[in-house]
Amino acid sequence: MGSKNRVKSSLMRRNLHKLLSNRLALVGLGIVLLLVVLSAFAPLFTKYDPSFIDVSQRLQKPSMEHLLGTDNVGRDLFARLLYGGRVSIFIGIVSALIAAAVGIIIGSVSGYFGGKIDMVLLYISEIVMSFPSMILVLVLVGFLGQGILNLIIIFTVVGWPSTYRIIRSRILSLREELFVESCRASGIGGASIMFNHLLPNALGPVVVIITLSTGGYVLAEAGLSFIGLGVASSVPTWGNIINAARNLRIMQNFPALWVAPGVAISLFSLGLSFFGDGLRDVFDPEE
Amino acid sequence: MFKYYITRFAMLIPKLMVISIIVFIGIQMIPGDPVTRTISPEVYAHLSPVQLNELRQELGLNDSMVVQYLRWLSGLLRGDFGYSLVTGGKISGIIASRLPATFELAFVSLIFATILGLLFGFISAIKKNTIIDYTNTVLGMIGISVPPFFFGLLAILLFSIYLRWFPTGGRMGYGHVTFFARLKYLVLPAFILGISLIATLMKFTRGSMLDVLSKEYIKVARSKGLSEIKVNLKHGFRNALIPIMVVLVMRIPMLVGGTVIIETVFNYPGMGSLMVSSISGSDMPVVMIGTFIMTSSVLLASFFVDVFAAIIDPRIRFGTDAGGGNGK
Repeated sequence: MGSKNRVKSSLMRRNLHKLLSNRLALVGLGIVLLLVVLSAFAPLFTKYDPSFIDVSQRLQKPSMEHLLGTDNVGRDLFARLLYGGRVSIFIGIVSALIAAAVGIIIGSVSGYFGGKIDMVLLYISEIVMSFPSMILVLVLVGFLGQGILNLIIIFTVVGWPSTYRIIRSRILSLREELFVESCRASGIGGASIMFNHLLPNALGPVVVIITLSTGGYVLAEAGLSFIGLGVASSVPTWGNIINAARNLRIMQNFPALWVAPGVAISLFSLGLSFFGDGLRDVFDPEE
Repeated sequence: MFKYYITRFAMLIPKLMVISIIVFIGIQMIPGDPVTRTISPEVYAHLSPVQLNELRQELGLNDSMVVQYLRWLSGLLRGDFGYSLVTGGKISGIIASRLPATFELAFVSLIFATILGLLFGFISAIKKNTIIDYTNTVLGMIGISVPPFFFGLLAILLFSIYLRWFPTGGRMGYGHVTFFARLKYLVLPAFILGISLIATLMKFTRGSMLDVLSKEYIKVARSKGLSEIKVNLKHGFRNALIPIMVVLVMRIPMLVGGTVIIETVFNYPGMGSLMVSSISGSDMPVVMIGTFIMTSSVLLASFFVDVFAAIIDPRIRFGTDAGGGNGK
């Protein structure tokens, strides 16, 4: 046991070192953490209520009082960005985690049982992936309706196959490795081999998928809210803030109203791409 | 050689069947009286309950689901898509006016993005680890991370409002019937739709090129005294293309899905904006048929890219002819 732990921690230390020496990945992580902290602790950074309408203060230019100005009904844009980030980031992270968890469970079942079950599950994942994901998302919005919870469910339904396929193929190939045979020879049961020996070895790429798909879901939520089919427009999200500013007069004269949330979305997803690419270099050197 | 194409095509059919079943189930789940979707609303409004019941019998709505599915499928194949819940018009008519627009947009975008993606990736690979390569890589990351609608809004503001080079949206002005007259409407949406594809292709082209350039036969080609251009293009690029085609096939669904957002930003009257307006208007029959049409077009498009890949790389088609040795 002791020696196993030491080997594991030295591999971890090596990976951590590799990650920390990747400057772009660190910049990415920094941007992401900054945006997460700003949104999570929004009340510490702004005194305004993101939904408080003050018509006397409408369409103010950026100033000390209103850092990024106010929108067409006088709500403080900076406060809306921070509170909007909460919802957008929450949807992104939770969807990515649940989709990955579903993918891991179905992938383990598929890889462990093999045979007909594997064939059926693989086929289901192929069918889900043959729909353009945006179209599938739209159809599901049509049936389930809008809202935060529904978006998370929909992103999970559309997103699980990517994790599923990785876990499945990893487990299928790991099953043939010598260490599995030696586990079996020493009398370790099937379920224990699966969860203690196979799954941990297959998880590396899943971390990469979770990181990159969080960005993907934030973009998808923003896109959906932008076309008016995401979160209800009364809830501030980054996409909803841009949607509210979609009007030629506002676009031209009050660019902060749509450029600021656009930059926030872009920075968040760019940070995740940088960090995700760094993680990928650590976890799958082959790619 | 033809055997390969026919097998590939035959593999599409079961998939299309399953998708049609899913779409059919989706249509069954739409709330409301299914009779309204098979006759026009004006006729429906003038029917008594007894007549309605007769009609239901006549239309086969009391038959088993399997029979109903087969009947629906044969209608689908003949171009009978049923009626819209909102306009009451035939769905086939609505699709006919929208599909060519999206086809035009997606096709131009695909060609555009493929050329640019390959070109930038090629340059990055032969100028590896120079400032050009790094700039390309960072631009590529930005291309993947910035939401397309934000690029769209920025482009409208810059190129349409300030510079007035292109219209802010739409597909054609009065009398713009030829493709070239419409081209100025297409430039911005097609380019922005393609940005993430350009970035992805660039990344993979670079990787694939570097992979090929490190092979022994490239050293042989160089040692024969071939010019650097010839080595890079004829021996390097051509062999690097095959894995890139696979990526291209995988990205086509994303390109088509992207039309939803881009068409909305540019008020472009295609399938994507039709899907959005139909969902906002709860016109689910149109949504389901639209889904079927777009998904099957994606499958067909992927098939054509596969065919194209087999043309440039004989190994792919001979692999299947020899008994599926390295087939997928």
